[in-house]
Amino acid sequence: MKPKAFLTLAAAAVIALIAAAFLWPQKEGVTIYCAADEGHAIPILDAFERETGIYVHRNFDTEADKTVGLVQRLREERGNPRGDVFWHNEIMHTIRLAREGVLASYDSPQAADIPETFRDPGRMWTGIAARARILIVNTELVGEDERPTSMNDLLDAKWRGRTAFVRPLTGTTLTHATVLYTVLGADKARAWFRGLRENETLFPSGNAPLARSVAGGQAAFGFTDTDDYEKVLADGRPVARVYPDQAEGGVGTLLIPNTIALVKGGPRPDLGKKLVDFLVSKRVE
Amino acid sequence: MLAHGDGAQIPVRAAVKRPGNVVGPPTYRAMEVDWDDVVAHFDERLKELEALWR
Repeated sequence: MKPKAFLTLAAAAVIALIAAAFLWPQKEGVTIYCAADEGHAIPILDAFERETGIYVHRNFDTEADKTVGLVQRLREERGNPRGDVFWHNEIMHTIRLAREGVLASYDSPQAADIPETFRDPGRMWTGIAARARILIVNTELVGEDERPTSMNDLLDAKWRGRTAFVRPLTGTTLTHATVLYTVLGADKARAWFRGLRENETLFPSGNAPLARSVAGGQAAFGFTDTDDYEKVLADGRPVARVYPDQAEGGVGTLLIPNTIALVKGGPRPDLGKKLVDFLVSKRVE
Repeated sequence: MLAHGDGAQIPVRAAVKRPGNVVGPPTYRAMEVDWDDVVAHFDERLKELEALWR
C-alpha cells in the first residue's frame, strides 16, 4: 500500500473510533462526581457495582483542580445536571453547593446512626469518614517533654523559623483557616495569622509537602491532615502525631469529614439514592 | 473501609471498629464548628487570607 493511501485509511479509522466513542449509547448506570482520592474511592465504587450490578460512571477531579474542579462543573451544569451523586473529600464546598441549590435533600436510612453534627439538618449532605487537622512532629528534633500541644505553640519564639503551616489558600488548610475566624473570632484569628509570619513559620504549598518537610527535618512540627501523616509514618520516618488543643478551654481538634450528596435534578435519582445509601453506610467508614 | 490503609480516615460513628493507628472522638475532643457561619463568611475571609499571603 502506498504511504498516502495508508495515511488516509489510518486517519479514517481514527475518526471512526472517535465518532463511535461519542455516538455509542452510554452504558446505563449512575454517575458520580468524586473529589475523594481515586485510590480510596475506586475499591468502594467497585464493591457497589459488584453488590448491586449497577454500573458507576466515575468522574474524578484532576490533581491540578483538586477539590474545586468538580464543584465548578456542578455549578455550570445546574440547569442540566449530568451527575447523580457528589462525593467530596471535605465539607465547605458541599455546603456552598447546597446553599446554591445544586444539591437535593435525601434522608438516607443508612445514615440514621451518624451524629447530627455530621449531617445537614435539611439532609442536603451527609458526612462520613473524617480527616483530623493534627500536628505532625519530628521526633528527632523535638523531645517528648517539649512536644507541642496547641496551635499556639507555632507562635512560640523557641521554635522561630522551625514550624510549618500550609499557605491557607486551598484545600483543608483553607477550610482550617476560615474555621478559625468562626471559632476564635476574627480578631484573634487575624492575630494568630500575623503571629505565624512574625515567628517566621514556613509555608509549604500543601499538606503532603509539609508532612515530608517535617519528616525530613526542615521543620520541627506543623499542621497537616491525618492521611498525610500516615503516609510518612508508613515510610518509617521519625514522626509523631499530636491532637492539638485538648486542654480545658482549648478549641479542640478540627475534623473535616467527607461529604456525600444527591445532585438536584440528576438523570437517575433512583440509582443515585442507592449509591448514597451505600456510601454513607457503616461498612464504608 | 476508609479507616484502613494509607487514607486512615476517622469514622464519624464512634462505634465503627477502627485500626489501632486511627483514633478520634470520643478518644479526643473535636472542635465545635458552626459550619453555617464559616460558609456565610467564606468569600470575605478568603479575600483577607489572599491579601495576607499574596
